[in-house]
Amino acid sequence: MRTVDRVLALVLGLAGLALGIVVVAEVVQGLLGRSGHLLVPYEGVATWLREHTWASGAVLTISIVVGVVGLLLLVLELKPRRKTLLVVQGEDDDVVTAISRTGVGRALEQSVSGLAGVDSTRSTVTSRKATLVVRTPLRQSAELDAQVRERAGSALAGLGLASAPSLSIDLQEVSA
Amino acid sequence: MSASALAPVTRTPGAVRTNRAVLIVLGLLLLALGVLGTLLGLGVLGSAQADRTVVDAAVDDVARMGWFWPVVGVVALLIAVLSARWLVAQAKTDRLSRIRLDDDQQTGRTLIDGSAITHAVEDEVGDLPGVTRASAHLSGSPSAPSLHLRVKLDGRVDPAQVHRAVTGTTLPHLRQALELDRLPTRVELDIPRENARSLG
Repeated sequence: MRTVDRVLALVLGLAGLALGIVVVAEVVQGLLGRSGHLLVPYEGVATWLREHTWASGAVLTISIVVGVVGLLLLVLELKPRRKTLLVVQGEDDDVVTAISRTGVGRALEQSVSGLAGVDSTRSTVTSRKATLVVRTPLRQSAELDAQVRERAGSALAGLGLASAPSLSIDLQEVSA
Repeated sequence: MSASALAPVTRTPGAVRTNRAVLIVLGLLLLALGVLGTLLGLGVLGSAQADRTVVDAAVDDVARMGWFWPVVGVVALLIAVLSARWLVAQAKTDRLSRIRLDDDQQTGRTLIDGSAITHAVEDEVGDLPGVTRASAHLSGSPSAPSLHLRVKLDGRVDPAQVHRAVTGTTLPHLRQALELDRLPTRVELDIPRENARSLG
């Protein structure tokens, strides 16, 4: 969201700056008693606004669109920011160490990637739950399941997270 | 109790806060305008209002008053100035170029170049086993700095071991060298996509 906000800030900032300057220029032009526009031909818009009522379809549509855009913007900005870093337990109060959720997922995947019978891995980590999907061509995968649980569990514990997510293993059979 | 999850660090915390605040205000403004226009158009505020043109004689009467256009000009100028400040805010970072070690009227003031500190930390952490690269920066104020350290691991060493080495050796060294009692630090351990062992 920070990136979206940054882009919006640049676009709206430039638009606001340009609009402000143009309006000031047009106002000064009008106050000096000169007729017509200086920079932007606004007469067409003024005529359109004089011809359309609030109940007209076009004005009503514009109003609804503006309201929806405002509501969307408000909801997106008020939504709490995603906390993508998980804190590692530490003894020094002045030091906070963290690992990204992606990094935790990578650690889990790497812990089992060398096991015989593991075809591919995929992980999803939130602050509460870490899911490791392991694909295997093995038909009898009980032993592999135990090994994966043991290795992934050790890897997660080894990270020393202050509040480790619960680990969920999903062993999926794929055709050899 | 400290948090168990954090948001990523940004170079421009001021801009992030400003953007959020301005966009909330803009969102509120657009929502209010949209709701007002919709209520007017649907006749909720009276059918006479709904049948009025957006710019009618009453609006023209106000526009003909002597104060109207100067006020519009001032508001537009204000919008331009605020927009320019909003744009400038995007470039402001919280990075510190120097930190203040002593500030005594008798003995004088001692300043130290921030890059000298961060390079020393980067070198020391970069030499730790299991670390590919380290990058550091200082933020906060010259008299109360804080350190941010990003450590890219190679996957050969347990992240907890690197964490212990950084917090148990590197940071105490730094505090001792700077004669600082406290140096709030945030360390981010970056685990690689492929570990060095699997790459051979």
